Amino acid sequence: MFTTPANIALLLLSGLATGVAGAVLGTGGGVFLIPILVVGFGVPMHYAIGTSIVSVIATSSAVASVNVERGIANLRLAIVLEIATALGAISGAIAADWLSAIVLEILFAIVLVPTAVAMWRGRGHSQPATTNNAATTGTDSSGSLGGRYFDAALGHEVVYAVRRLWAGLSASFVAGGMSGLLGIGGGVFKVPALNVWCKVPIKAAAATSNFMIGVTAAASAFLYYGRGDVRPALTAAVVLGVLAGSAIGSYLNLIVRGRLVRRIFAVLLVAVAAQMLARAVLLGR
Amino acid sequence: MAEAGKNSPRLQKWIYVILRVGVVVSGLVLIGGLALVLVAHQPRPEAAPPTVVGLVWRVLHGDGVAVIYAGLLLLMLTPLVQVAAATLGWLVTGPRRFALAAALVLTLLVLSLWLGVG
Repeated sequence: MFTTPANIALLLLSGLATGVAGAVLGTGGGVFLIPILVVGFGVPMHYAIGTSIVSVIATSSAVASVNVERGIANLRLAIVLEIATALGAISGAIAADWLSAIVLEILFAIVLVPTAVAMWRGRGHSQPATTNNAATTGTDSSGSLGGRYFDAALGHEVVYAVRRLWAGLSASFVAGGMSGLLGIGGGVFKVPALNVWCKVPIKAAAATSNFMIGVTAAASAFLYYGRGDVRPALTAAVVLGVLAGSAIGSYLNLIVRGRLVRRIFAVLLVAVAAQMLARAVLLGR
Repeated sequence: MAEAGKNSPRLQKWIYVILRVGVVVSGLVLIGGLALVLVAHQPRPEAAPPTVVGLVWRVLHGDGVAVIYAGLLLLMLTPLVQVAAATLGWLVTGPRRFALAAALVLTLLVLSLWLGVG
């Protein structure tokens, strides 16, 4: 791709749009960015993944800093799970180098389906937040990994214990692998697992996952950079657009809370998955 | 020592500052690099990433593409610095087993950096 002002402007706008969508819909944005780059701009899949993985670092760092300051992200749990995600991310990035663009496009299209399902259902439906009572009666099967934070919406402090750490570690390895392989955040695998299996309240699970995503992405980004898959002007324009879009989206998030919007995008994601799958099959012939 | 179940406030502050500074500084460098590329009219396919020494030399000579690479590297290094700070933080304030976990993650990140950037 040539670094003409028109291309840069279009890439900035694309990054902006995916940043807004990611923030409003609670996804990393990579699920929208990669199809736009590959199908819309004709960017090779490996370059699109390299661009997306750096964008994930940018958005995660911007969002995570707020969650860390508010104390919602559980740093202790995050760093323990990060051992598995970083290992997964490095493995995924190495595997991506061996796989053809067509195989990666097919895998990406398949991963879009659970992402669309999660978007359709919404994050708040999985489980109500654990309350103070649960902490006094529950047992923390993972030592001091549990956490506490003040939930402004509930109006009281939420205390929780972490259960089945092995399940969280397994899901984190898979999430890291998908992140390194496909350039996505991997939250779609990690957040439900932390919530359902490890019994971490959904808000803390999402904040902890978001905090981890940047570190996970960095573990594979260096490998993509070294292979020349992080194209400078392309990535810079997209990253700046995504950062601006995330900031706008965070504001819009307070206004737009419609289930309808989420579901429209979920259907759109399934359509994108079908298009990418069809494209990969046609290219493979 | 941090209260049970709560993050150490000092550690939280360090990480918050590192993430904010990392995003803002790398963002500004990326804007500068893109501006240089557009002003210098460099509508050519981009080259492979330079070595670290080559990168510094090219940045000092006002090469826009090199400035962008520097901005991207700064952004990618932000999580690594964040994990290094967490390692140090837990080493000082405890519990030290989390410092060990953070050190393991840091080792993986440094390994990736070494394999990718050299």
